[in-house]
Amino acid sequence: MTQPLVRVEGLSIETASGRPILRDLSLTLGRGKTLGLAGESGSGKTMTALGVIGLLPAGLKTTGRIVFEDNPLPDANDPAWDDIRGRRIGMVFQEPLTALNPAMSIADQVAEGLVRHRGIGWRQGRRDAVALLDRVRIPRAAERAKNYPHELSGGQRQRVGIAIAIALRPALLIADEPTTALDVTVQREILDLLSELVRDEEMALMLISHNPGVLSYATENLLVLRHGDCVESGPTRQVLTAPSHAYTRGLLEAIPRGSHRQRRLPMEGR
Amino acid sequence: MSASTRKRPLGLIAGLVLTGLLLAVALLSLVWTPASPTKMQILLKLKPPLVAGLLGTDQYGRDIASLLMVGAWNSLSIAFLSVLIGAGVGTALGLACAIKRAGIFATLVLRGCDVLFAIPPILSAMMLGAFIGPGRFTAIIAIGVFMIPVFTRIAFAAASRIWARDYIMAARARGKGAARVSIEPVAPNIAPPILVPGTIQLRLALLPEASLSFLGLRPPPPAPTRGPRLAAAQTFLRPAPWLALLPGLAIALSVLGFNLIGDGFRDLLDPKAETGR
Amino acid sequence: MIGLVLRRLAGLVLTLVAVSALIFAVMNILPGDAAAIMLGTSASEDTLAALRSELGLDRPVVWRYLAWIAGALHGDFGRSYTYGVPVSELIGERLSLTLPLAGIALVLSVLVSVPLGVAAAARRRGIIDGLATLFAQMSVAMPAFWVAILLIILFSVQGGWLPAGGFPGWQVGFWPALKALILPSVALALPQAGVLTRVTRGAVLDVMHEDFARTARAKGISRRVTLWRHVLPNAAGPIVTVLGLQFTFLVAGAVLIENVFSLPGLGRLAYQALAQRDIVVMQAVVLLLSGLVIVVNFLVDLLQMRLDPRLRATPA
Repeated sequence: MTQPLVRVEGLSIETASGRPILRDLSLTLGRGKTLGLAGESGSGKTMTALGVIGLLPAGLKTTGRIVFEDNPLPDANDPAWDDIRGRRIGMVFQEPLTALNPAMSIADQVAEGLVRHRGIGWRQGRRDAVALLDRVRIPRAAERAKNYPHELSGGQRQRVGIAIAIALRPALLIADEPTTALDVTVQREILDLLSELVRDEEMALMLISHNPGVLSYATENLLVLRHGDCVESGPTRQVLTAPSHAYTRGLLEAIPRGSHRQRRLPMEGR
Repeated sequence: MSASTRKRPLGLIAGLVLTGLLLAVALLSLVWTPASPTKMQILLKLKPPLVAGLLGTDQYGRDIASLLMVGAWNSLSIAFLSVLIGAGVGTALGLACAIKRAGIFATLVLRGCDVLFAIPPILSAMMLGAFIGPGRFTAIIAIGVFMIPVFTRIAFAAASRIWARDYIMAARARGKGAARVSIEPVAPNIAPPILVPGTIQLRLALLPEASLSFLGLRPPPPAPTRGPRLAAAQTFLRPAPWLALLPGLAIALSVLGFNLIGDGFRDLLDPKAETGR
Repeated sequence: MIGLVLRRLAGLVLTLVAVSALIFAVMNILPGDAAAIMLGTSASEDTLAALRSELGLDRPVVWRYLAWIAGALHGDFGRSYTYGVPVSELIGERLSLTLPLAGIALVLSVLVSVPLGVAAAARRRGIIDGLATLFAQMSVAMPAFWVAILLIILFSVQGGWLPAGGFPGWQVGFWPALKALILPSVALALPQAGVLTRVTRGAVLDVMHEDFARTARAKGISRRVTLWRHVLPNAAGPIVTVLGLQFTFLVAGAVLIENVFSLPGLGRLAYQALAQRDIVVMQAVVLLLSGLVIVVNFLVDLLQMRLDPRLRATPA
């Protein structure tokens, strides 16, 4: 495939009152590649992700376009989105507890996408769901299929979230801070799982995080955002070890690393 | 996405205006009415509005407008007093319960609230009316007692939230007694969450009051509230529908007024209510 | 979960007992001399004494209370002083009116308000939303009996389609009996529908913005299906809670409505008993109606557990 899977061209998002959230962002992502979006809160990284999957909150103005699999993505409220989401693009969210329906069993939540997009029955859907839960390494998946989200641990819930997102083997998987709400020991398992799935299914992965450790572990390329602008981009290793922009440097140094020195982010420059 | 424009509180203003008008009319009735509400002019009975008197006359020839004015005063005062009782006792109980949430006192009180709340106010008024005799006092007591559980629960919930806050622990660590902590700073801080339900309860008190008078559990004839005329009005439905409709309209308007105020307050105090609950 | 249910059941029984004690106390202890109440103070001392021994009023209070409860558990509420028949007979016939009345009103109010509330929330600030809010405001403000009278004027006096009062009894035929209940149920349901619409709208709006609704959309589930399959079941909790709380008012309303429409139900019985100062009947009716409220609230709790799996976990 010569054409990249996703091409974002000059995407700008602003609020109804004109406050800019994202300014003229462009990026490409190829099949089977991983791209990280780094930045602090308010940098626009989550909005970019939501923009790619068409789930931006109502009332925002967007300009620019996103091309996916050689076709421009539809406008916000176009019902065509319901066929794209889940099937071609999947998303994993930050808070596993609130991202799952507390009143629905985990098998049903995984099966729902299958039933909807493949037209199969619920019984078959649940069977396939169990296989998926197994795939994401939920122990004793068949027994636990009927469990509710609150009966699982944080890490397990996130695995369910991943199962839901990849159920239909979408070409693009977006993960918005998938490990932020989890314990440190679990974070690595989840990242390993994501990498494995991306490899096996040849999915493209867009990983959003403010944590350089996560990004260096799981992404090949990196894009750094600050207040809606892209300040740096390139291969992850390069960006993180030899950042060319002051902000990126500051971002990396601001993380306490054993010593208790805390530096402030440089305020100069754009 | 923050709430950008501040909605002008139309509802609140409308409610205040409406209620203000009704209050003014009610208070006015204490000193003046178009005609004496008890004066019966049999010759003028059952006349439609504007033919005899502003709103017509009832089956005894009494001027409806005057009756409604006096009735407004009676209804409003009864409702107000009941809510006062409910709020006063209920808030005190709620505050007390919040001191020791899992204590025996709290459990008893909250269970007691369930019990009180299980008996519809109409029935408790009837029970009381059976031996105290119908009247203002009965109505106030019955409705007031029914309001206590509501305020107790609200005060308890609000106070509990404040108790969980750090500055309370700090105060207690300094040796401030539980009772004193309840008075200050807990009590002033639960005022806002009580105000809104308070106004809601006012409207909820008006309706049972009207119902009670409708059923005849009311002050004896010379002291009209708006209810009983409805009862009598039923027999005269065909020739004189206004006899039934006007008092009900008055009640509905008062309730609507309180509603709007309550909602308006809530929208003001809690801007997050963009969700429009 | 069984443990939780049993605990709630125990709570139910406790509340029932407490309510019965309260009712008994109010009706028997507070007034002082029940016989004087019933006969009036001008009655002769002999008549009073006779009534007292007939009612067992010379026995200790606790004994009387227990006797009452024991009887009630068998369905024996004593003998009506005014009618001379066992109270249970009086109640039996009337229950077959009050229960369906309350039931129909409840169903009606839910059928109207839930779809309306959902529609209003789905298209916020749309026309339906405005109408729904208006409807809610107004129906809550109008006293039930006023609505009743309005309905009578419109449908009975003017239209002549539906009876203005009275109840022929179920034995006459299902449809004629039902016709007599239509206007009363609507009058009873209307204020409830107003409250429920507002609550539904609010609850749905809240849940609509929760994360899991977004997850559903990210799966490719349409707005409509998300609303009905994900949002509503989770919004149902607050709605059901309010339903339970409102039930007290529903019962109170039924008492009124029965009197407006001259329906021979429990509410009317209570009213007549009051007029005749028949304490025996009054006690029984108030106990039954309050008991009904308590049972309904218990059922509401059970329903909540069914709706929200998180409530089923027994606390460690």
